[in-house]
Amino acid sequence: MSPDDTQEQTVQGFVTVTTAGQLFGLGLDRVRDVFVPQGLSAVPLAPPEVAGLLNLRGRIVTALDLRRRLGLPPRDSGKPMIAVGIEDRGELYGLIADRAGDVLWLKASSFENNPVNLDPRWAQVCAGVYRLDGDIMVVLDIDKVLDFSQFGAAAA
Amino acid sequence: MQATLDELERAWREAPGPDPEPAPSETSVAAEGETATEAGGRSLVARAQTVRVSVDTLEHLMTTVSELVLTRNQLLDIVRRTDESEFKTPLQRLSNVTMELQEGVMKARMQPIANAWQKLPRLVRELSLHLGKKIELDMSGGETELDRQVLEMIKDPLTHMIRNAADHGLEDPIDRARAGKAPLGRIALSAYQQGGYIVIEVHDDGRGLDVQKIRAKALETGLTTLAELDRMSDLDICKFIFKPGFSTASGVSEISGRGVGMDVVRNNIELIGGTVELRSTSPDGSTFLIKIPLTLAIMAALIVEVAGERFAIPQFSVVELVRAGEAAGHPVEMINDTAVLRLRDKLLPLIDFAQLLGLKATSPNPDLLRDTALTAVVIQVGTNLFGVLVDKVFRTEEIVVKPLSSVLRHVTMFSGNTILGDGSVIMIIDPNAVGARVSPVDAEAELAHATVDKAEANEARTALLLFRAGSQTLKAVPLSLITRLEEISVEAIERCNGGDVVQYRGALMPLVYMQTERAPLPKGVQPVLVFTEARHPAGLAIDEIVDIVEEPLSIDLQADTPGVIGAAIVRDQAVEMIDVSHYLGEIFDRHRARGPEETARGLKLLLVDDSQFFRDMLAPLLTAAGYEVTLAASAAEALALKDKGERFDLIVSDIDMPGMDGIDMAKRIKADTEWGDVPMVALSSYSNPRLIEKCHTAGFESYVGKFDRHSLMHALQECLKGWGEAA
Amino acid sequence: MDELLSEFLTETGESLDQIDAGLVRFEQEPNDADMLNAIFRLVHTVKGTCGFLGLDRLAKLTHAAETLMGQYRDGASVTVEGVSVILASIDRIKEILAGIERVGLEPPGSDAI
Repeated sequence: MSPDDTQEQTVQGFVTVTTAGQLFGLGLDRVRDVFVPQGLSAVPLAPPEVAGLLNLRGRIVTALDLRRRLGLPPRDSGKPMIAVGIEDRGELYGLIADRAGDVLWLKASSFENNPVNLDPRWAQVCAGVYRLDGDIMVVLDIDKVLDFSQFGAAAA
Repeated sequence: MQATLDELERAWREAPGPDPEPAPSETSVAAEGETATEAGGRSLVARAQTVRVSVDTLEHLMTTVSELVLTRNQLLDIVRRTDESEFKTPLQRLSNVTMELQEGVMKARMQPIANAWQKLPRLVRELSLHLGKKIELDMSGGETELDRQVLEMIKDPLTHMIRNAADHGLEDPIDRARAGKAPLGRIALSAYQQGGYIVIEVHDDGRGLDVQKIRAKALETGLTTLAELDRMSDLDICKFIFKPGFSTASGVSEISGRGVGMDVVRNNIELIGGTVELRSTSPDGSTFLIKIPLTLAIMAALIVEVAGERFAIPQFSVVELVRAGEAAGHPVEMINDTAVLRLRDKLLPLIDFAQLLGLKATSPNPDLLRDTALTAVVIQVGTNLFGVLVDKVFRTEEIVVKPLSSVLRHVTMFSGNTILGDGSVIMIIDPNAVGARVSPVDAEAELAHATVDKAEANEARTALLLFRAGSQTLKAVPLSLITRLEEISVEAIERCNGGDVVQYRGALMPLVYMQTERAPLPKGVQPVLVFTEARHPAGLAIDEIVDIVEEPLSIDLQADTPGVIGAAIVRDQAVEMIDVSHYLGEIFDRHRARGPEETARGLKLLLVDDSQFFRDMLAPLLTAAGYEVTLAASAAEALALKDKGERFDLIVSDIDMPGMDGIDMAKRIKADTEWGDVPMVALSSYSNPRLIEKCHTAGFESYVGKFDRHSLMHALQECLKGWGEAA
Repeated sequence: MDELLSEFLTETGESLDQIDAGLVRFEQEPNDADMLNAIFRLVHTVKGTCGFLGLDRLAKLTHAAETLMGQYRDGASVTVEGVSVILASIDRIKEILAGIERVGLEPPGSDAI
C-alpha cells in the first residue's frame, strides 16, 4: 500500500512483460524481482500451468507459464523467456513470459475496465486495461492468476 | 470433604459476576507459594537454563542453514573438479562448521517425546472412570527426543491407541478376575531411539485382539477369502485391523468406536514416514510397535533418474536395489498386464515409474521390459513390498526437505521437494502414495494365483497343517486334504469292536489314533482331523494342532517309515509329511468297495506331474480307485509315451511344469490323431478363472485343485461318462 | 495480540498441562507433599498472572482450584470427585484461554456447572 492514497489514485507502477505479442502489466507492489529462469525441472502430474521448479538463491520457486494460464499456444522450445518473481503467502512463484518490458507509471485516467467481449479465460485473471500510445496493456490480477482452483481449466 | 467441593462449586457460581469478591488473602497464598518453591526433589518444572524461542524463528534459522548447506555443497562440487586448490583446507573447515551448525539447529527443534505424552495420564484417568476399569499407565523413555514436527504428528495416533487399549484391550474387573489377572489393568508406553528412528511400544495386558471377530469382519468386508484365512496365522489375521475401512467395533462406543480405526492410525503414522505394526496379541495382552523418523526436515534419500528426470526416494523405505532384466538373471515377467519380478522365491509387483508419473504414455512393453537392463528399487511400505523401475540410480544424499508449493499439494505422488548439491530442484517421492498404486490385496491375490515361472513351479506354496501326535516331531498334512478340524469331547467317543467311533453330524465316524498305542482316554477334548472319502468321514485323532503354514513344498521321500511320505523342512524345522491313506486307507477302502469308482476298473490312466510328492500321493489313490496308473514326470515324458504308441483312457496332468507346461502339452495332445480324443483333467495348486478358461481352451475337460481328491474322482467319473456316451 | 498476552497464553498452557499430569499423579499418591506443593505453586502462578492481566474469570477459577488444593494441603482426604472437579476447572481455564487466543479478550460467560 502506498502511504499516499491520493497519489495512488492518480499514478500506479507496473512491471510489464510481453507474451504472445500481448503486453501485460503486473502491480509493482506485488513483484519481487524479474529474472531469467534457469535449471527448470519438470513436475510430473502437475497442472499444465506449472512449468516446473527452479532454484533461486537457495529457495524453491514454482514457475507458472502465463501462456498456459491464458490458454495461449505454447512457446516454441529454445525461445528465450523471463520470469516475474512473486511472493504469495510465504511461497515463491515465477510467472513466465516471453520478454520483460519497462516499468511503467500510469495514470488512472487511461484505465478502462475489461472489454465485455474479452475471452472469459482472460477476463478471469485480468483486472482491466490501460490505453497506451499505440498499444494496450492488460493488467493481471495476481491473486487471480495464482488461483489454483482454476488451474487445469485453461488447458481444456 | 463435601464442604470443600461445595466451596469450589460456589466459587464457580460466583465467578462470572462483576467481581463481587476482592482478591482474597493474597499475601498468605503468596507465602505458601514460596514454601512450595523450596520443595526441590520432585519439582514439575525442570529448571534448566532456557529461553523461549518462537517456532517461526527456528524455522527461519532452519531455512537459512539449509541454504548454507546448499552453498557449501556447490563449493565442494567446484573444488572437487580442481586437483589442487588452496581452498581445500578452509573449505573442509567450513564444511565441518556447517554440519555442526545444522546439527545444532536440528537439535534446537528436538523435544522430548514426553511432551506428546503429557495429556495421556489425564486421558487414562478419564477412561478409567468412564469405563469402570482400573487402569495404570506406565510410561518410560519419555526423555527420548524427536523433531517437534514429528512430535505433533504422533500425538493423535498415540492418543487413539491408548483409547483403544483401554476400551477394547483391557477387560473389566470381573473379566480380569475370571482370567486370573490382577484387577489393575496396565497400559505401558515406552520409547527408545534406534538409528534414525524412534520406536514407541504400546502394550496392554488385556484380552488381546478378538481373532474370530476380525476374521468374520475381514470376510464380510471382502478383504479376504475363507481359504486365505484358513492359511493365515492368528497374528496375520489380526493385522487386518490396519486395512482401510476396517473397524471391529460393532457397536459405536463412546471411547474409540467412532469408525476411526487403526487404519487411520496407520495412515497418520505413514504420512510421516513411520510404520505401525502389531507385534503380538494373546489373551495376556497386545503389543503394538510404532516406528517414526527422528526428523522430517533432513533425510537420507536415494537419487534416481527416470525418463531424464531425477527424483529422490526416501532411504528409509528402500530395502534394496535389484538389476532387472534377462541379462541380470531377474527377468521381468507379465501377469495380466502387471509386471512382476521374481526375487528369492517371491513375486515382486513392479511399477513402471515413468508411466506412473506420466513421463511416458504407453503401458509397459513386455518385450522392452524383458530386454532392457533396468534397476528395480525395492520399496517397503508397511507390509507392502514392491519394486519401482528406474533408469539410473545415483548415490544416497542427505537432503533438506522443503514443503511443496500449494499449487502442487494435490499431486499426491510427492511428499516434498529439495535442492541438490548441483543446485537443481528435484521432487521427493512419497513411497506411501506409490505403494497405494500397487493395491496390495489385489497384487497378492494375483500373485498367489499366477502361474508364472514354469521352471520353478515346484515353488508353489502349499498350505500345510502342522500338528503333533505321538512324538515331539512335527507332522504335516496338506490342509486341502482335510475336511474339517474338530475338537471332540472325550466323553463322546464310544468304543466298539472295530475301534473307536464318535457321533458326528448324524452318523458314526470312525476314529483312528495316530499313535501306535491307542491313547488312553483322559478327560477333556480330543483334537481330530476329519477326512472325507466318498462322503464318508473318518477322523484321525492327534495330540495337538500346532499351526497352519503356507510354504513352498520340497519333500525328501523316505519309503521306509510306514505312514510317512517323507520329510520336509518347514520354517527351519524338520517335519514329517504323513501319508493319510496309511491310517485311514482301511476305513476308506470299505466305502470305496461299494463306491462309484468301481466303474474305473482296468481303465488306463496317465498321470503327468513333475512333483514326485504329488505323483506319490495321487498314484496310490488312483490305483485304489481302480485305475491302471502310468506316471510321467514331465510333458516331454508323456509325449514320448504317445510316440511310443502307448494308449490311455484318461490323462490327468499338472499345469505348472518346467519345460513344456500342461497347457501346451494339452494343445499338442488335442492336435494328435491317436490321442486327440482322450479326455484330460487338469490339476493345479491354483485356482483362478482365467487359468480355468485357458485350460478349457487348451482341451482339458475339467480342472481340479491338486489336493481335492473328491473333486478329482468326480471329474474323472464325469470324463468317463462323457467319453462312454461319445464312444 | 500483544506480546505479553501471547507469552502468557503459551506459558499458562504449559503450566496447565503440567497441573493436569501432576494432579493425576497426586491422586494416586496423595501423601506426596512435594507433588502437591509443585501443583500448588503452578496454580498460584497462573492465578497471579491472570490477576495481573486483568483476566477476572480466570483469576476466580484458579483461585477456586487453589482453595480446594489448600484443603488437601491442610489434610483433607483426596477423593476422585474432588480431583475431578479440579480437573474440570482446569479444562474450563483452557477453554477460556483458547477463547482469549481467538479474540484477544477474555470471553464473557458463566463458569457455574
